[in-house]
Amino acid sequence: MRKKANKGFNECLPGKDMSMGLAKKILEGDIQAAARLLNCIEDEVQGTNEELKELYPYTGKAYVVGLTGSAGVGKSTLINVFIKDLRKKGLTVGVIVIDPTSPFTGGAILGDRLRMQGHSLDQEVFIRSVATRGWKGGLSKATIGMIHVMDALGKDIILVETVGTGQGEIEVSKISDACVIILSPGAGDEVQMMKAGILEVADIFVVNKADKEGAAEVKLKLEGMIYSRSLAASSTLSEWKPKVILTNALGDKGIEELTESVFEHRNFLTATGELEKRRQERARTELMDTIKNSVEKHIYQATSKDAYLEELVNKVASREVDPYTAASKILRTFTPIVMN
Amino acid sequence: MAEGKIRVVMAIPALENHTKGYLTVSGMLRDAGMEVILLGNELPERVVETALQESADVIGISTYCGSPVVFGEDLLEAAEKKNIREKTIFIIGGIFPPEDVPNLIKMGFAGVFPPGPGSRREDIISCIRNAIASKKPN
Amino acid sequence: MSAERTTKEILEEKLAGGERVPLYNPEALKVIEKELEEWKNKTVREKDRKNWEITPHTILGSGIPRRLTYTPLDIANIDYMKDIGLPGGEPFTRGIHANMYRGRTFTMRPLPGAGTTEEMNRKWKFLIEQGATGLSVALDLPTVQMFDSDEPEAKGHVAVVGVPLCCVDDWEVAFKDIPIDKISYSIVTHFPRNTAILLPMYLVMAERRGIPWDKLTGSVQNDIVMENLVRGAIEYIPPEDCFRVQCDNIEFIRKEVPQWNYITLNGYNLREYGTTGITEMAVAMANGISIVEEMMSRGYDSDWVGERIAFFWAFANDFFEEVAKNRAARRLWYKIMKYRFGAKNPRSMWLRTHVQTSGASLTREEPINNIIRAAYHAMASILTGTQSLHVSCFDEAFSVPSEKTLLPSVRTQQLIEQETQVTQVVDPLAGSFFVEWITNEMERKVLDELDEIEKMGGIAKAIASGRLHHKIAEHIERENRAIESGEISVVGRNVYKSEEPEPQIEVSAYQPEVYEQRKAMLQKVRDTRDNEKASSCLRALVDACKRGKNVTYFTLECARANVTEGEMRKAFTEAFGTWKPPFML
Ligand code: B12
Ligand SMILES: Nc1nc2c(ncn2[C@@H]2O[C@H](COP(=O)(O)OP(=O)(O)OP(=O)(O)O)[C@@H](O)[C@H]2O)c(=O)[nH]1
Ligand SMILES: [Mg+2]
Repeated sequence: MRKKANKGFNECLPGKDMSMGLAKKILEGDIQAAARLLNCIEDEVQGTNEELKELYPYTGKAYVVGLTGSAGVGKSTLINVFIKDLRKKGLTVGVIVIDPTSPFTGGAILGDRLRMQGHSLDQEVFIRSVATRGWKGGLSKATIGMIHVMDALGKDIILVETVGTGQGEIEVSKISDACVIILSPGAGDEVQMMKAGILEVADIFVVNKADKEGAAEVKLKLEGMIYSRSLAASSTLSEWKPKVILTNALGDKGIEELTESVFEHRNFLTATGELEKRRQERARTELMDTIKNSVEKHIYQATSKDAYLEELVNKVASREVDPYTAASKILRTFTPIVMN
Repeated sequence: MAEGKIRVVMAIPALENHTKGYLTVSGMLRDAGMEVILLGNELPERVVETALQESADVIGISTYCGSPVVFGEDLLEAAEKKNIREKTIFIIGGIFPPEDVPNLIKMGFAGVFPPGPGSRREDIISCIRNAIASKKPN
Repeated sequence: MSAERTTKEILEEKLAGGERVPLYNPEALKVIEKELEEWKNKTVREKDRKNWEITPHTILGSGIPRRLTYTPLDIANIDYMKDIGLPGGEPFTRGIHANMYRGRTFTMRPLPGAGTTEEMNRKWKFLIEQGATGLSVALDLPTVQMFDSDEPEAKGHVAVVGVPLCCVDDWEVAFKDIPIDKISYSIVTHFPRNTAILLPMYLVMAERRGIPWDKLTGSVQNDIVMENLVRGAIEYIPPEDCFRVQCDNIEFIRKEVPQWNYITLNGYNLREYGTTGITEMAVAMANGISIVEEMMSRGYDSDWVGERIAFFWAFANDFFEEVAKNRAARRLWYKIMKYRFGAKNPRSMWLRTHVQTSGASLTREEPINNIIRAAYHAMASILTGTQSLHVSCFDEAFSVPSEKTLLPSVRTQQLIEQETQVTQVVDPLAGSFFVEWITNEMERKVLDELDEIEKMGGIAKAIASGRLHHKIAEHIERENRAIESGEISVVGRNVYKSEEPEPQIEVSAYQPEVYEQRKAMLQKVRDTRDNEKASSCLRALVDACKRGKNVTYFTLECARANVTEGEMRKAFTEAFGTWKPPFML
């Protein structure tokens, strides 16, 4: 176990009164309070959940768009121009950009935001850089909580950029209303090898760097793939056929089309009741995850106090006890769990 | 399980062409387990706005071809305006007149790092850690 | 890359076969081989035999392994006339002039430090009185980065590390009464864009004084590597467009200012940023090759463009590697121009060099040691026949130089020239088994790296790909670690340290009142010029960028209309859009 880093953060420390009083400020639009709460979520500071509880009733208004794709396809650059277009349409924007934590040092270089600095003085754009801190799937553990905060802060639309580590980063679809998958020219083979799972979750495809050779080819391949899938899909589904959009994020081209697509998709989701369904699924995932986390944390705290857990670990390792029996033993002792 | 990570916003003045020091120091801080938000070339006001959104513990500036005092004054003033001056730790390094060092400290920089002894990896890291520890209420 | 084959492939084909006349006779080599083996076993200690080859670690070094000693066996294949030749003759390994420094000694170009236009005018006049025939213009940071002194970004930077020169009026003040038709000026405009903006200002200043452009001599850098790879900045234009501006400048200058050196392929700055001498050469040559290709595709022949291409190297700590660098570079560039581009004029096969001794190798600690370091760097460069030299000053890690620190720098060169007698003999290190071996090694390695860059599609595409950025980043990180661990020794820093306090050194500092003066001055320029004319020139510039016309003719019109540097920068960005380099961490 790593030791807690030597860090003090006045507002986050459980002080005289448990409440940090951040929620109220956030609801009044206080950016600094929101920023602080984001830290607390990441650092799992005690009392954070109290704040989130207070905010929760005010969330659910923001539309969440997840953007994923391999490293360097231009996710951040695309988001930069996407923000510009959304702002032109009068929407307020929250952005969560995620980069990997170094598994060796625990540190991270967060560079996505550098591509979006043009918006740094716009009070209606809130950008937050996040490190994965060991979390898998291209997200960080804190992402959902962060979305809630931005939502409660009143952001109309929240964009989430995942770590760019290639395929399989589809976790983001579980926390977003719409999932945008970004590719770049030369990704022809990638399309060929694309796992079914990706097509399943992609609502919109973007082929970025369309100023380069080969973009149209990737688009064609994708469309072919989408077409054959739609034939294969059962007719009972009110299928949304993912759009494929060509963009040149650096040259600010094709972005309106992306925005339109996102809106069109939203209308589709709303009209078909799919949005409700998705959000319900999301609530389920979040609830289950929260349970899982709380149980784990609770048990960990309780068992690690008197080395009970270590004892059992040793026994499992030496084959004195099997892990299944050991687990039920612990669970039996600690149910029912009283959660804070 | 909770792990409080130190978050640092690193920037260089808007026109600065020297990035080597900024890259080197950013790498050092990452290797010390910190989360480093890279901003590259920026104006003081925008560095502050970013630090606010990122709720950064530290703002680090690397400068080689201008007055650190002029940049520093604007930076601290903007931080004051945005109400993050107290909670933030300011550090600066690079090449500038030695006379500026005491002035920068007086202005409120927790660490000033011209090249040479006293600006090694461990010096910078312990400066940050100590400054954070001293802000921590007991 | 427009050619189907890379330079390496072309050279391998064209230089294959042909009769070689070996320098060493095979019988002698056999004897040496036998004796060497015996010597190794009998005379050389076991430990040294085991470590026959050692990898040297030094700042900015390539780490080419060194054997305990070298014999003809290491260069057994050498053909004297083909590989080494005579001074001033092909393949120019030994230098581009037959009489080298006996004909003309290396140009000594002191950098004048920083200051306002008026101060710089005085400094230059002083240097001329002292007998200088060549001068340098070091720009302040806003001017380098193409910002007007009165833009908010410039605050805190005006006149700190050079002179602000962002409109023709500035140039008139700075060069007042200086005989620019008699003095050669190295105008350190590193980038294609700031060359396109600033050189025309110099020309318009000459025009207003009635000095014809064909009387002007000097140089600019005009290098895409600087603009899109080496510098940090808020804004960049895409590499392809930057490359085009570079070539537009060349075309314009070649036609309109016939005696002017229109490009200095800048290895120096890339090297100082953090790379080896090999990459330094490979990148500079890759750019040179892309330029010649582009100019040929514009309908000029290789001699037309090749004649005035110059190179700019850093000379750093690894003495023999640096010696080899210049010799290898001359031979390789000759081959490229002759065999790849079919140049006929020997002048266009010449690799001319300006050398500045490495600044990144100099330390803040015990700064006097820097005089010694720089003297070795300078000696290496003179031993290889550089055309022009600037020795970095011992206050390198403190400030731009002052008159006090410039003196030992100039003296270093004068001392080498007047006292050491090394300039009497042309290419004095030739024929050393080691020197010829390492020269071959360097050439081979440069050609390999050049090949990699060409396979990425030439200089602009290689820069756009971000791979060169990453290469630099890796070098910086590795080198820093090696210094920290002591693998690389730096005297006064990690070995043989003293506890002496830092000496007092006179440094260049910001003067707030200058910023205010500049604001007022630029306001006046904008208030008094014909603004309609200015904006129509700017519109024409944007249009020229978009339509592929030679942009430098349009920046010239802007300069004539008193358009400022920042205004022209914005026009370029408007026309080309922006580009971002990749992350380097
Ligand atoms: C490398 C270098 C360059 C490279 C920069 C490449 C790049 N992208 O970074 C190149 C060659 C391009 C360059 C160019 C120029 N340079 Co230069 N350059 C240097 C050099 C040799 C080293 C600086 C460096 O990067 N060191 C590496 C770092 C890692 O080491 P360090 O500085 O010791 O860093 C330590 C501390 O400073 C501190 N630190 C630094 N930053 C930070 C930040 C934080 C938050 C913290 C905590 C600590 C910290 O910690 C570090 C680790 O110990 C210095 C001279 C020297 N020897 O120092 C001149 C120097 C900085 N350059 C100088 C100048 C003027 C220029 C030019 C502007 C000249 C001109 N007028 O054209 C040009 C501009 C070129 C252009 N068009 O862009 C001057 C500045 C003078 C002044 N302030 O009075 C110097 C001092 C040289 C001189 N004596 O004239 N340069
Ligand atoms: N030519 C071209 N380059 C682009 C385009 N979009 C982005 N880039 C470049 O691609 C590189 C990577 O862009 P980013 O936006 O950082 O990519 P990313 O997907 O966010 O990268 P990671 O977050 O590191 O995974 C940068 O150099 C961009 O300038 C585009 O449309 N055309
Ligand atoms: Mg990104």
